[in-house]
Amino acid sequence: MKKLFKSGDIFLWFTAATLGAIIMSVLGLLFVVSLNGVGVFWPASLAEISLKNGSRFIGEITVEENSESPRIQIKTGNRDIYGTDFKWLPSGEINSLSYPEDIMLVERREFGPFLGRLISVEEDGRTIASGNEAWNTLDNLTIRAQKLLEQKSKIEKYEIGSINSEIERLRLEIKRLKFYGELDSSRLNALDHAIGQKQNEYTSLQKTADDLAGRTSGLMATFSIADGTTKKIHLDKIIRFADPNRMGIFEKWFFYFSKVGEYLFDEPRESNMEGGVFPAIFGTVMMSLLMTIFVVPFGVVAALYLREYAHQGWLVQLIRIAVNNLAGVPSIVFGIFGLGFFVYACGGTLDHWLYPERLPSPTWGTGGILWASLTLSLLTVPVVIVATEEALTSVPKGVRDASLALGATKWQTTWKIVLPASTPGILTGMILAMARGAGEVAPLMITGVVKLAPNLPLDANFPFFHLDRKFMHLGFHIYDVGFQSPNVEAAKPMVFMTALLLITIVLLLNLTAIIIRARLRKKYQGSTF
Amino acid sequence: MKRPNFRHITDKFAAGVITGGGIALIVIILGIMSFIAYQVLPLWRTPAISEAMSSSFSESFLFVGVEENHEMAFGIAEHGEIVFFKPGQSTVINRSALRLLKPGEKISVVSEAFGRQTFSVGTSEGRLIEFEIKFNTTYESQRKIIIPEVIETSAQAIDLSSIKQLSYDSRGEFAATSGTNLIIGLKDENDSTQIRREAFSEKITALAIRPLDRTVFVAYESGQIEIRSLSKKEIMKNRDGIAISAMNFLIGDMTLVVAGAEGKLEGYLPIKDQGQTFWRAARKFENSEGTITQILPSWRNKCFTTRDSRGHIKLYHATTERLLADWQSPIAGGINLSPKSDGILVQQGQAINFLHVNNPHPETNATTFFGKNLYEGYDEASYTWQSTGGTDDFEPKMSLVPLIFGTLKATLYAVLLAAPLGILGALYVSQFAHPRIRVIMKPTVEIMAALPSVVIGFLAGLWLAPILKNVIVEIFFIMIIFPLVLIAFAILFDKLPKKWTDPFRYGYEVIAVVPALFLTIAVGYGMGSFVESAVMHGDFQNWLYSAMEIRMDQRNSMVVGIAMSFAVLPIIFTISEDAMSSVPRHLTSASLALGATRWQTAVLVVLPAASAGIFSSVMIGLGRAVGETMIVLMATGNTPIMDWSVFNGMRTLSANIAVEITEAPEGGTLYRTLFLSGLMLFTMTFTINTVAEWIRARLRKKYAML
Repeated sequence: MKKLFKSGDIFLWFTAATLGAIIMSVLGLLFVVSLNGVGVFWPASLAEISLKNGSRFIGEITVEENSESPRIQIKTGNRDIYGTDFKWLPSGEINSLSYPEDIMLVERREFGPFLGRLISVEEDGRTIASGNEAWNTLDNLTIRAQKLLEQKSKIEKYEIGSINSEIERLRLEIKRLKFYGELDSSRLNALDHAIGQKQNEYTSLQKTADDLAGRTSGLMATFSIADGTTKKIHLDKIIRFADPNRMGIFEKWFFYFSKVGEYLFDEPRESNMEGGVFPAIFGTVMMSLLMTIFVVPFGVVAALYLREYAHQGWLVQLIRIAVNNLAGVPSIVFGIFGLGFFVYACGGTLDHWLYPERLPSPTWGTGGILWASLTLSLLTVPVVIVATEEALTSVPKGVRDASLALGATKWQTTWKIVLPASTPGILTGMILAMARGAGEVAPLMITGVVKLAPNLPLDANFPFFHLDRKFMHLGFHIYDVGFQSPNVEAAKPMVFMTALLLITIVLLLNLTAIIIRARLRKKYQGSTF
Repeated sequence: MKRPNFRHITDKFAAGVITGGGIALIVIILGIMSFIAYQVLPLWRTPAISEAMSSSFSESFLFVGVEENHEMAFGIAEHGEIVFFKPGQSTVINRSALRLLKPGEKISVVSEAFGRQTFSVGTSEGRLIEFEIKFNTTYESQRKIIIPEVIETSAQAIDLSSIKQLSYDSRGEFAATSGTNLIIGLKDENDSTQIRREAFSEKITALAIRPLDRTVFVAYESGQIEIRSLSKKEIMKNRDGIAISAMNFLIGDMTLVVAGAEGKLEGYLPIKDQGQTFWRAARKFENSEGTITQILPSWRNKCFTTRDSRGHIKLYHATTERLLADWQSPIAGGINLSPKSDGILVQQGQAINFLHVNNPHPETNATTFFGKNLYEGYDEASYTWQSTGGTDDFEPKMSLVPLIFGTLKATLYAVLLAAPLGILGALYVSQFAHPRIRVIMKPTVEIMAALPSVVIGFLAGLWLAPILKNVIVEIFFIMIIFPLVLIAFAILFDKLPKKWTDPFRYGYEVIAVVPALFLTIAVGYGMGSFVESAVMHGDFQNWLYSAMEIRMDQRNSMVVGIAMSFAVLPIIFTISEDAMSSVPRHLTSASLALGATRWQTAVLVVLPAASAGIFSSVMIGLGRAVGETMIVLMATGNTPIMDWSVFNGMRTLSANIAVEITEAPEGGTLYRTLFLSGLMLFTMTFTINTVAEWIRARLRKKYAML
């Protein structure tokens, strides 16, 4: 024991413990996110609780607290009735707690989930099913209503959407001609006529859509909530329903995956607190790709200059230090630079040149996906430069000399020999840059990311790529839903899910980069020239 | 002779493009910094008054004014005609006579309401006539046309033989004096105007109406100021007995600018002292050479313009107590400001001069950003950041000190936590760990570095903060018993049969130690919750408040420190590990060969050799923490307070930019101030990183020489 202290091995244990704590905290963080994220869509059993004072509640038990006055928190849903999503019940007051099989979970288009019992289904005020058969009728009718609504939203999104963009285009054309004084009456009439035609098309399509909606408006279901009062819900407001207490394990998994599918491929609902994050995934991916298009060629060219072309003197050393430092500049500084330079200076000037007739409402002089990706490409250019330089350095000098000795020009050597050999390194840099871009939020939220973008930056309307549009981003989604939504507590599960998704994307990208780099190292360690 | 062929041309071209790319890189790096600096620069531009245009007319005016875009000006003549003209031109566009004026009745004094172009004129027959001047804009074949309109609203007799002074507000309240007779008309609770009339032996020298609390400030020849409302009157204390030549309220009615005889200029603020509010001369301005005859408040900000008897027109800013501009006017009659305060009209007799005022950022100087300022509504000078308020008359408070303080505080807590952990962990990995552990550690730390800060911030704010609030005592105990448990564990490990413990020795200690960590957590948690329930009645937060009067925010510095150390730790770890493991092998081998233990070698040989690298790792970590945005944004309450307490939050420079830039109009003072904080962040991190890089480079050279 004396030796333990004298040799200092005891302190060695402290360093080991520190490292252990670091590893544990990283794993712990990943564990917390996974635990909370994975369970979000699982249909949990719903408890019915009656209190000693006679009141009854239905809900999913979310927290059990064993403090001096033990209490449980249940997620009651029914935000439109109770005003909140959660309730604290003192454990001592609980009279009975059971899991009746007939409790239903209904997901609605507004006010979050509804928990209660199905009583009957009605069409135009007549009861068409009640009791045991009500479930099946509800199932069939909901599917019918959903199909109709799907048709309606398809019409609204694609056909009406393209008409609207066409009308907008014509309006802007009139504005433009007016601005340049080229608008004579015949042209104006023609344009007005075209707008009128489009508007007629719009009206008739809207009527079709309304008709579709009208066919579902008479369908209603009556439910009773915990305290026995009834609540009518329009079938077209129901997205899906389930009875978790009766469901078998396969049904639960089915429900789970249908929710995950909705999450990944659908639009958000209820100020991003429900539904999917497809636009955010799309925006993140498109922004990262755009950024890659800008950053990789530039980064590679800059690295080639630094490593292959420039005279290795103090200037190059200085640039290298500056590049290193650029990587350390806070991302928010890049953000304000992007806002001031790209959005206001470049975008504002573009507006003056190209669309003076639309001013003061900006076209390019406001945040958009192009400006955001340009800003991020400045932020990530050091990553690409450093990785590329590293790869270029690892190409043995002998290979270059051999190529040059055979009469190849410098560019031929670079293009045919050096660059192919360093492709994995460049790829690593690119992937790391994408990972950084996907995880960065601060500069994006001032250069073009919004909480809800009505249109994707890529759609079927001319000119297809709308680089001036604002977009959604997974990282900003986390910040916005977690910290700026009106009902943070109810939104938390959704944020955990998005955090899990974002971590998965970023870590997968990083792991790919790590693996590529490891292979690259092995390759060059083994090679002898 | 060699003929240039295709591949040589390509080679030249490629060389050109690549060199261009390299130069573009330099341009970008310099460009970012210069652009941000360029955005900040206008904050320091001196405001300027420049003469633009003059016009003259056949009649002389009592009062002149201008429309807000300077496209049309007007003069009110003694005989009741309002003449409209283009500023700088002498042709009359339009004339409009006041119809409520009786034949032969003359205007003696004109008062414009604050914030609106409504006027009250006192006449030779002791009447007040109210009217409004409107400028209606229409477009006729692409040309903008402004049609002025005079709307007369009321005339009332106030029975005052000659009105010398008149103060009037947009609600129609007024105060008028003939010298010794005073008439005030203020609204009562039911919004109907009540008239009060009084005669004095002393002469009244200035009047100022304060719509905020429906009072009238009356200055007498003796230098006294009396505050009168409908129901009461009181004498303002602390006056020095200097006669007052002019006084007026600034926007918001919280600062009364008073000009004493011989050009003394002071700003009076209501300041609370021991429960009572006193008007105190809290702001002192540079004195004027002549007697100040007019004080005109800006309708936009806390600036005001004075005119003195020697023809000086001076522009002041109240919050900073600065004289912004001084203009010697060749003509020295009455002056008036344009509604946007970007123009001044000077009138004397028949001549009217129009001056341009360029004053986009009046409120900025070094004191604004870095000094203590006394703001309206505050009782003492303070460092305050509050850039925008709900109303137009809000006084912007732009002290960057609380933000710099917050940045330092967050950085300090993060580095205090991350540096020991990172350095000790790096020491283990580089000196003691088995290569297999090292192979696992690298990617683990890389994963940690790759975690998006928004995820860390979200977990800190929504998951950690509510938990931490309940387990502070437990964590305290865990930290206390950590060394004890660990020593006990090491002794036990030493005593256990070698057969069991050998697989966990020589580089695998980190695996063996995990149970000890769990044990520490379990024991510490148990002790903590026991103490909390026994001593603190199970509620640390309440106990902290009742026993020590410390209020605890849920999102406090502890949360920020823990969360941000997550972002900083990988940097410190990686760079110090790099420095330690590149200590030349022969040094450590020599030490071990001489009989030193592993620990002795690590502490006495490796640490000193790598100390520069470790130092630079901490600096680069600092640089990262200074600029981190999302974590602080989400893990603190973002209140710009100055308090070192771990139980409070903070607002950092970076989070402040993220919060406020979306509401800052381009080119405005707030926008440029945020760019200034961006520039500060840029220079801070750039300096820190450059120094750190330089140290590392020197270290590498040192190693190479060993």
